[in-house]
Amino acid sequence: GAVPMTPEAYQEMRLQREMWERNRPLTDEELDAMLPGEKDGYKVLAAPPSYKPIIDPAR
Amino acid sequence: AAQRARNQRLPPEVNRALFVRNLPFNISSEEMYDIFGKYGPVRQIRIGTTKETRGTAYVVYEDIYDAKNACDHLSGFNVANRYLIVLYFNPVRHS
Repeated sequence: GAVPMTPEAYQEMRLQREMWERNRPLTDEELDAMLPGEKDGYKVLAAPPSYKPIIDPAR
Repeated sequence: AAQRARNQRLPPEVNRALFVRNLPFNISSEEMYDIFGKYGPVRQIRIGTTKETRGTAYVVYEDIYDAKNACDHLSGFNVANRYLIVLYFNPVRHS
């Protein structure tokens, strides 16, 4: 069977799960539902061809 | 330290979407991605196009820790003699 967790380990797991939930990838539909769009006076600004996302290798 | 910071719990108001005010009206896509892209991959930018919304934008990061870092460092950042105002997006306020 599973080894019972200490309260500290349980709390740690709960917090990590919360942060994981807040940090999961967003779909375009979710973004559209969340943010103001064309009718609210905003347009999506396309990334310039020069844009290279900086990926942090330490992650 | 960076690794530990990544697992840290962030306050509830911290959000991957930032609301930015006081941008120059004529700012280019290159400049926007240059300024905000420094802190990590940008998921999407929405920029104000009307009289009421010009000079404001929503900047969404892929990662919440990058968004926090950007918010901490870009508040008061000087762009073309203007000081940026950077806030966390508040879904309640906008719905």
